[in-house]
Amino acid sequence: METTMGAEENRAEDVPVIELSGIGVTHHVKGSSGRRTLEALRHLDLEIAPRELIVVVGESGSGKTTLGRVIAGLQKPTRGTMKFMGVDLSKASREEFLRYRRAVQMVHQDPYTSLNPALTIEDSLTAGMKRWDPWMKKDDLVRRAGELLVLVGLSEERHLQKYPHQLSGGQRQRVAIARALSISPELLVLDEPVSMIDASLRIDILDVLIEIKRKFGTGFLFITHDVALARYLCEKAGGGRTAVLYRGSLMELGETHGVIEAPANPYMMALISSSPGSRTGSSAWSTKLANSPEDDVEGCRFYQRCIYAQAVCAAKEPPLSEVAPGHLSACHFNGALVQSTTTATTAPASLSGPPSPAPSGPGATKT
Amino acid sequence: MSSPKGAPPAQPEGPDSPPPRFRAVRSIWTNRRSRVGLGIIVFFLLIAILGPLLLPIPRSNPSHAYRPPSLSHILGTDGQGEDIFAEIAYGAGFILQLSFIAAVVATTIGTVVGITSGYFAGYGGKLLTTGTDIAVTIPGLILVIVVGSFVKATDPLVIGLLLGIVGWAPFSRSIRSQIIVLRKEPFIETAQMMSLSSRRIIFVELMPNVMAFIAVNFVFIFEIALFASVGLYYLGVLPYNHLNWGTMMNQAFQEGSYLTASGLPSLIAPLAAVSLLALGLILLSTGLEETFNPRLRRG
Amino acid sequence: MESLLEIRDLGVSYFLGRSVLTAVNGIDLDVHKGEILAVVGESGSGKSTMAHAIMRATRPPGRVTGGSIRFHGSDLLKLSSGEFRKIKWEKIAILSQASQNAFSPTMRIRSHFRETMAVHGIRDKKLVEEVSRRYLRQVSLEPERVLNSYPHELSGGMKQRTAIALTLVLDPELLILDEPTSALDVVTQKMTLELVKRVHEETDVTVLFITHDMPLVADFAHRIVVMYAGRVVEIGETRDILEGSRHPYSHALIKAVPTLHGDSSKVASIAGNPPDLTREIRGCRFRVRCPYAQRLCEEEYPPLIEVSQGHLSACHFARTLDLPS
Repeated sequence: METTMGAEENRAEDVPVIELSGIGVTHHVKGSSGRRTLEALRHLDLEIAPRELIVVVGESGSGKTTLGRVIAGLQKPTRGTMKFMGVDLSKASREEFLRYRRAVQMVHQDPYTSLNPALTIEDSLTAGMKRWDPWMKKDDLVRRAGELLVLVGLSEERHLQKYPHQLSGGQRQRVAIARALSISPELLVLDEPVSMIDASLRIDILDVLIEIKRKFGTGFLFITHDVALARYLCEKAGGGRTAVLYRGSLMELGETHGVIEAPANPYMMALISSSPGSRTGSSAWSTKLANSPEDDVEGCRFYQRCIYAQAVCAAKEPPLSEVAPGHLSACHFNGALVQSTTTATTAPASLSGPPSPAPSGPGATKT
Repeated sequence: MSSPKGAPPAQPEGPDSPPPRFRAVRSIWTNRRSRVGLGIIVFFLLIAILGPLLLPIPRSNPSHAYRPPSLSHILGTDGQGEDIFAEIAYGAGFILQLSFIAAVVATTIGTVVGITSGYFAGYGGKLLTTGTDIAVTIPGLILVIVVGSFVKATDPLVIGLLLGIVGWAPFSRSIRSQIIVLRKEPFIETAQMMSLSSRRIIFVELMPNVMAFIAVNFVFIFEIALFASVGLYYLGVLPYNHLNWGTMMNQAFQEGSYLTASGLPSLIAPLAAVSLLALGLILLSTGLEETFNPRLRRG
Repeated sequence: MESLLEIRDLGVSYFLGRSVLTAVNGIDLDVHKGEILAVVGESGSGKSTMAHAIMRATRPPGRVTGGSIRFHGSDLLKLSSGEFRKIKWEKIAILSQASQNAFSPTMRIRSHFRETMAVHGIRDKKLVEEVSRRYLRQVSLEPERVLNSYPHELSGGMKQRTAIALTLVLDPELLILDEPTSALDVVTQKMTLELVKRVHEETDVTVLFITHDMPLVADFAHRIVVMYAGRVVEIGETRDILEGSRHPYSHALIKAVPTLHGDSSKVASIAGNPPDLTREIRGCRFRVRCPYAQRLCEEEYPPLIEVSQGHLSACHFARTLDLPS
């Protein structure tokens, strides 16, 4: 049990904090056309090393939130095993499970519902501390709470007595982060923590996370749909991996820099081309991406929306294989496609640049 | 709850903004509806307390029957020559006590059962839920009539207890729904992730968020008990009680005196008293609702 | 260039008991016919308040305190509610974050279309069907499947597109998009923008796009208006603002958002906090956070200075400022 904030010194460095093997989560949904099974997560294997920063990107419905919740222990997987520090959680003793419980904490997406509106900031921050360090004196608790606030960039003491409704969204998220840190977790799962905050205020929160990682060696599982944010976070933190999820399957995994600059998987290429400021011609993906994916397909999950799709893609699901050391991708054409996106494709000017000014005067028609 | 869209721009309230609980109490004062409602209730409380101190117990005096309102009898006299205002005053205390006890009993049982069945999803919770569902289906009126017939009690506390026991179930169900919704909120999830004890979660994290709901429902149950008891006394189901608004109405009807001008006050007075008190309660609960749910406010 | 919408000296305040929050403080804005104009600002800049004022959706404790919003010459703020109702939806339509959830869960999509058109006098079933199909196809949806569905049967992206189709069905002249993509993922965001762009090319509808995300509108808008603390601080063509901003705030705003290929080390958040809009502020409202602030900034409020053709900036030093790229 830790009494000071900080990473355990005597931790075996090579045991992954979280190890997922064959994890699957299936929901049974009652639709208007009878019962359907929704596979939020399909066969997923992932290892998260101690102190690691790993970003999970994908659109809505990709399963990234479900993955975060499984790792955080809020969602039980319907298949597969999850190990914490080498211990299979389904077979863990109560003590081992409690260790896991403390070690993995989560920061939710919506800052307006992640703090209890009836509690002061101080109460919210000290709740976990009181439970795990019950012998801490009140003065120490308050002091610790204050330190946590400073850590997340809220330097004023008076914030402690405030209620959540008196803080802005960004401030609330900081408090949520501080609260998660209050019991010294090994891994922090952040589910789109800045998506509900103004674009210009996001990096402040990201910088706080980077500082926390630097100081305490906390690991992060950062879930986002914004590839630019993923890049910023990993660059500033000095490295990190990115996992790309699509409809419950892992499509690509590797060092963030490589995955973004030279993606091997068409889905990642599609994600990048959809991001603002991408160099690739967006028209290439627009029409195909607009297709709705079909529910049950034998082959690759991305088949209907992929511009490189061939017959083999519809027939067989591509396995996750190595494109380069440490860089995995699930595509039948791994490696063959890498080249085509690093060279910036020059799309027709009318589509890649800003629209030409509207014609003045009446009677100007457009087809 | 979602981010406040369409609300005034996100400017945090000043550092001196009081916490939700105190805001509620203060808002009762500022909300016109609840202020009026509270005023009416206080009025009846005063009558109930001061009445028996200042006025003599109404005594049967047939020669003074159906006297019109005068200085000695503010509202006149009824068929037995008893002072109507005094009857109202003495009856007020009875009915207020009764309704209050009923509300306390129903709210307490309902809250305990509702929160427990809502929070604990396992067998215990399911058992309680089923028990509640059964309790809801028991016809309360029949139960009251049956029990009332062999519990010859005139003590308002006993009657109140009876009504409370009969009426806790629906409230329990609605609190349970609230808890089920709250249980899924991220801040409760976080509390669970931090392995906070169930006791802590229920009392410190959940309860303050349903206090508003409980308060509004308390007033509501109070009101229901009021109507139920007056009605039951009027019908003669509950053991005869001399100084009682319900029995006053019963007598007025029985004597048929309400058809005459002189006999009207003996019926109107208790009727008006019930209506006025109920109005006060409705205003108070509406005001409370508006306070706790700002979306209902109408400026 | 003809102006479709002319806003002059618009003021909107929120009356919160003891204090008054001035959300919009004297805005002058022209929306040119046929253009896509982006209004960019952070929360609290007044951009949404302004959009609501245009749609006469300002609700208490908010109130329009002054100014005019001229649409085809007539002041929208002074029209009767009946007259305004005719304009609403037919001439000016609005799509916001709430639009996605504004579907009635018990009505099929077809009924939604019918209802919208019926409100404006179009009741002929055949015509309604034809128009609905046309617009659904325009937003790349299969009319057959969507019209028969209930809202919950559609995916988020499909609901978004259906919402867009519903706003277009009456052929409005002006389409106001109030942060429609804020809660959506990057793929749906891109799809929405491309859709609007395509519709704009086909129908010449004027678009007013409100957002807090500057990079989003780089390939989308013709002109950008930057708002801060209830006022316009910079107006200009998209390229001029993004590559050659002449206002410290716009410049800082652009620098504060990480891009896909930009230099991460150059990304920096804006120092300080947004001003308290319940207080009167002398001089430039950005000065306390501005690295270039001088005495003059405290004394005088900077007017909109023309830096080049069509490019204005509300900074005393707009012409001479040296802003690093």
